[in-house]
Amino acid sequence: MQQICNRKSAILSLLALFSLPSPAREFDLLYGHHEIQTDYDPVNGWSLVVSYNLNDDFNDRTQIRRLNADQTTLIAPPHAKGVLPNGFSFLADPGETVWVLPQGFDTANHFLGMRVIADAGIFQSRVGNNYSNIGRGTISFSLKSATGSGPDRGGHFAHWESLSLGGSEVYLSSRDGIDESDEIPTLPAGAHSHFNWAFSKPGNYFLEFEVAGRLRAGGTETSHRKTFHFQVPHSGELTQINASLCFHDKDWALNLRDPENGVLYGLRRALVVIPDSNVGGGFSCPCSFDAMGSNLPDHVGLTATLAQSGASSVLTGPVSLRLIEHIGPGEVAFGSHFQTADGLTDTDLIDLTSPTTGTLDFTEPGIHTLAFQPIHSTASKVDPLIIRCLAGLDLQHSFADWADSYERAYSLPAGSLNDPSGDWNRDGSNHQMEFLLDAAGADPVRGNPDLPNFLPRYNQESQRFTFFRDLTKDPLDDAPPNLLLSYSTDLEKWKTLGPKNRGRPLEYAESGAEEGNAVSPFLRRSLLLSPAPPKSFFRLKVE
Amino acid sequence: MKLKTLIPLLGSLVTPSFAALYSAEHGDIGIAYEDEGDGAEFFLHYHLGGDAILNGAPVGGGEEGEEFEPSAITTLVPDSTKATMGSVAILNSGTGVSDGSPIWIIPQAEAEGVPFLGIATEELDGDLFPGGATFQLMSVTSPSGDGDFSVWQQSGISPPDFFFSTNSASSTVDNNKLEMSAGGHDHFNLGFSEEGIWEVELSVSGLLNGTDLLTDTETFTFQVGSVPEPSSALLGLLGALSLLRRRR
Repeated sequence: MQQICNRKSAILSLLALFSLPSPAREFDLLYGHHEIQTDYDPVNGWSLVVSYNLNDDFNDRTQIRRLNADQTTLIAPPHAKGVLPNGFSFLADPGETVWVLPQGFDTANHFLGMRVIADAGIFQSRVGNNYSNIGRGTISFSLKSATGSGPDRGGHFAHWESLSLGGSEVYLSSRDGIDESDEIPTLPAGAHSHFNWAFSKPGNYFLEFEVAGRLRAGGTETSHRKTFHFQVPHSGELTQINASLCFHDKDWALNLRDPENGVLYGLRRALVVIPDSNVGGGFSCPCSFDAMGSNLPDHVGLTATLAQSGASSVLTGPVSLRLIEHIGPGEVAFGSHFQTADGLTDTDLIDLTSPTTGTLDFTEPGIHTLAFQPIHSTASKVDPLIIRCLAGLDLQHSFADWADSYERAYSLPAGSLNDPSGDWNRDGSNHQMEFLLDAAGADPVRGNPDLPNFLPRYNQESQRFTFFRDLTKDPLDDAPPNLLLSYSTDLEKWKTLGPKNRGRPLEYAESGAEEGNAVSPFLRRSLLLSPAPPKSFFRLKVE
Repeated sequence: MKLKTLIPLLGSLVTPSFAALYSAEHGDIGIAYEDEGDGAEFFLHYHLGGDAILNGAPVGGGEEGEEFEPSAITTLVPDSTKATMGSVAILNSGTGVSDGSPIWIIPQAEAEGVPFLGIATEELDGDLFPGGATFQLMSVTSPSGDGDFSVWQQSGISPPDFFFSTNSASSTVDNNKLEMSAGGHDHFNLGFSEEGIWEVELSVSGLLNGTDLLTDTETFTFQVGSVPEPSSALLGLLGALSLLRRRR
């Protein structure tokens, strides 16, 4: 592997020298035109898959590509999130936050259709509960169950058609229970239609669907079930620190709990948002550290084992946590445990023999990165464990806020970082790129640290180009800045993926590279290329 | 400013001659970038699926169906699509139809016995047209000269988005323009405020390689409501239809 940096265009490029077999593919998709597709033919029977058309011509059945439902997750992107108005009581109450994959096309969302690939004349046509041999024939599509951490925390699923003059034709809704009424009674053979798909809480939704029809040959009833996986991201926003130091098989993790919402965030998957303090100025939030592990149902960016393996449970002897660095403006203090005002020493540590609670105080607004080192007799070298805080800023803070924060953090003259196309540290990545990769650890002043799991890399182990998306800064819509992913096989022609050119999962597409069973707006992504060309060049760019 | 032509179309209650009647199933108003002998250029056309009903019979042509010049087709908006408008300000303004008045709608969702007419850029390559294509409503000729035509979409939990409106361009998302990315395909509600024959002039533009402007403009004809069926004599003339089919 060789790294190339093009300084003029502030583009990160990486070269994979060898063609390697594609790893087993699982897809998690953030946007694009896909279908929940039913296939039926008399020889092979039923199949329910996620599909798309290779040539986008939906009259052309020969160009359909199919993804196994068991290996495909549809993630609700930022544009799916909204506040529910009146008139949708089948999903949630007015004013609740919901996530909708809409019936109409939105560049920055899923456009999820339903398609039936079956020849005319195989099935009888249903009208009410009567059947006849006229027409192309129809099948039904029904919801049988909705399970997962989303429904477990009270989330509902609904599926409906928006009517031309307002109102909704509701077909599937879990809010009033799931029964025989949760059915699209007639989908014609050859159908390709779009509906709204919506969810009312973050988490996982495993939706079991059944397709059924009555065959013209013999009048036999036939049916088939399949479960599809949808995922609604957690907010990635915390208002206090509830940190858990874990250890498993040489891996350390400093995870952030959100017990109210039943989610545990791994490294860089959440930000602690701290408002102005009402007392004494500065920015303060409740803060606790322990080494006890967690059993929260959703864990973002880490395995269940690492989530549960509290360091004090799996290690013998005392465990503590030392603050080794604060990147951010002003000073930070956690009671008597650590203070940066007098410099950081070996004594700036938290004894985790028992849980430690207190208040974390920042003196200045801005973006604050706290880097910790676990201290234990058996501890080997470990990458810093990071907690990131926003003091007086929110998740949607601007480029100007970012520039101002780093200028004050490094005592640079005001305006040093305020040109998006500038490159203060001359590392080949411009300020706009570093703003988008801030959550990944990009540093506009010092050289970027070695963070192979976050900053863009060709990863030999996974055989994929991986990077870290911050959907709070780039919600995948047309509004700049957009973080665009592209590749080339000859360094001349580049194929770029973005909201207007979404790629195709079985050819080239952005997919997931996350660990855990849930996601937040901060998520590790990868580029899938199939078949893998002899050599490929990859780059991220900002437009 | 209203786009609609104020001069009534003479003989507007007669089906236009020679055009074939598209009456049901799926079809698209599509844009392609093709070379048909004079160099590659934009072609605005109809792309009807193989099951689409044309003069009472499926179009055929296998899975891909057939493409037609817009002048070859009249799209039926059957009387079954007639609805009564309610009192919803955004719909009243966008459609130009007041509370309690009738409106005929080609719906955004598939309905039996009604054309399922979409708008498609699926024949455009996103690498060649990174900015996609923009459809623009140029003019509308209604049966009385005072009818209103509109195109809108209901989706998700949002209020309706109007893209075309002869009654109120200011009610539309982008002043009677509809942007679509390349490789796209979507369905909308097409609303007509009165029965009869309508002519809708659409223009489409796009930037080849992001720089070179390409355009095409065509007129699409709609037969709305209880219009007399074309006579058998007229249908007999439809043998000329094959001359109007586009090469693929």
